Amino acid sequence: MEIAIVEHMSYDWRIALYFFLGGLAGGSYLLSVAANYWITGFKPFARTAAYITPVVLAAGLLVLILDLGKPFRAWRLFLTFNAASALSWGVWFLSIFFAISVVYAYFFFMGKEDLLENKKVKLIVYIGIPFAILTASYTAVILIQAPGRALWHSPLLPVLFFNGGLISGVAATILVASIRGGTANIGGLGKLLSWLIIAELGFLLIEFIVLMNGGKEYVRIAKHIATGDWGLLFWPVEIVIGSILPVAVFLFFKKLPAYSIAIASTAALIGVFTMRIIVVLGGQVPTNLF
Amino acid sequence: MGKRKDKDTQGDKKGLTRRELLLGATGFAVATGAIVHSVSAQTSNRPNLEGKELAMVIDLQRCTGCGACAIACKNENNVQDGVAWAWHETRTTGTFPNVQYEYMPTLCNHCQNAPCVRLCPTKAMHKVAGGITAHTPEKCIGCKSCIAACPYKVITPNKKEPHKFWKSDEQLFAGASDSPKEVVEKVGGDTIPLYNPDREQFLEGSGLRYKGIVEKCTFCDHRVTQGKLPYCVERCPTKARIFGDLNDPNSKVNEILSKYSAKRLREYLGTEPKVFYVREFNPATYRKSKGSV
Repeated sequence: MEIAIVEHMSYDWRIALYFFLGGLAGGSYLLSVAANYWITGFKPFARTAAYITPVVLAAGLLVLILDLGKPFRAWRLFLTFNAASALSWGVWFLSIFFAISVVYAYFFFMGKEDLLENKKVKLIVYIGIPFAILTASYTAVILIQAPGRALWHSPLLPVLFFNGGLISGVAATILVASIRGGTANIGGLGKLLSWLIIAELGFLLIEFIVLMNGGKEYVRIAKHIATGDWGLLFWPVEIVIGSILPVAVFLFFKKLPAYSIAIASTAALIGVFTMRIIVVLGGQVPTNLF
Repeated sequence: MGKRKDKDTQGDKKGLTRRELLLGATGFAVATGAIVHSVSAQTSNRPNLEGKELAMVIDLQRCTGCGACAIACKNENNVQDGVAWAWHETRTTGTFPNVQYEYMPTLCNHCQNAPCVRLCPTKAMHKVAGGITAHTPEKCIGCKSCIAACPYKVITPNKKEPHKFWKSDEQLFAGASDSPKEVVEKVGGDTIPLYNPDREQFLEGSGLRYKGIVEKCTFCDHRVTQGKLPYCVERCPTKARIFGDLNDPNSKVNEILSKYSAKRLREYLGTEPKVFYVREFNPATYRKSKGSV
């Protein structure tokens, strides 16, 4: 009889949720900045996306702190620094990004969008761009730093996470915009979402090819996700609902009722969250030590 | 000095220049840093381990899989339910009648290139004299990234309130036997969870472990600094565990390692573990799935 005495799962669903929210915040910030400064067609979405960022990031921070065994010791992360640890860097990325995203959203909230063209303000907003990218992708580096977890040990993981962040950021903006009724040019945003999802599927395919041609552990984890327990989550939820459904809705249908837009963007959000869950929890499937 | 400066800037708000404010802020930061550092600093108190490279050899052919090492560890280090510092992995392969059972005792490998030390954001997990991977409970925030980083599954989170049993006032036989709480009161012990008096006596701090943080094998550094062997080594009934210094050419560890070809767990990860395995638990047959040791 094997008694389950010792537990070894380290990152649970809360960490997956934080990865999702952090990526979403990074994606929505980049979308908002792009819409505000560069892509005039998306200008109406700049405000919505700007609001989403700090709210989602605050929720993510809360989840992250509550996941700690000692939540009241979280402040120590700012006083100790381990240059070798992605986690130690991430605390700073996250804090700086959060501060900038609050400032950025504040200008919209106070109705002072014209101030965003101010050179100094613009500089701050632009400084936020690398921090948004870092916040959305450093989480993957935390996973990469754990050797012996075959699924996490991939240089493509930060790209996969960052692209997932873009998908969820765009999808959340579409969802909020469709609920609030501003559907002008929402189809354009939907097209962007579709191409991002197609890129994500491409990355996933490469990831699987790498795993299937890796060592024993790599093949094992690939099979575990594609055909094992996680396959029940991977194929129907991440691939069909999370990827194919939104692409089909936004890329192939011309006239869209508001509810279908809301459903498709929610599906995309579910897909990205499922990806995080599968990577974080599925990656921790115990390996034999010998 | 930093503190005094801080007080000054707080007291005199009118004539506050930017320079003073900056100085005050710096002083405050330095003072806070110093306080935090003095609270959490744990100077290594292991003078006789300097220059040593401690290692353990487990002779699998001597090992009978009795699990005494795990129990000895629990005794010595007061490890609570749900947590194990010394543990094992088993594997049964083949079909009847050609069945094979293997037993692999595990403990923290005290890797030279430890992933847990690399990933720990607060440096609670660190290397100390003797090549020991040490953990400072006072610094740990419970982020659990060391558990994710460890390829050997030997770091465990402390999820439950430690030693809750000793706080219970439930009597096994009502009116006839003492409750755990009464026992603690009678022996005059305090109900500090997971208390290891040896650690407190010989090494600064670290006598306490709490709920919410992680913990792992210490190579019994509180014993090793006293010139004793780790308790699992001492209590192994078949003397399958050999402990010593790799830097000492005459040590028992080096003698055994020169005699047999040794394996280390998941060596291909480049973590340079300090726990070596020699010979086979079940040397009789060829194992098809062998290979990742």
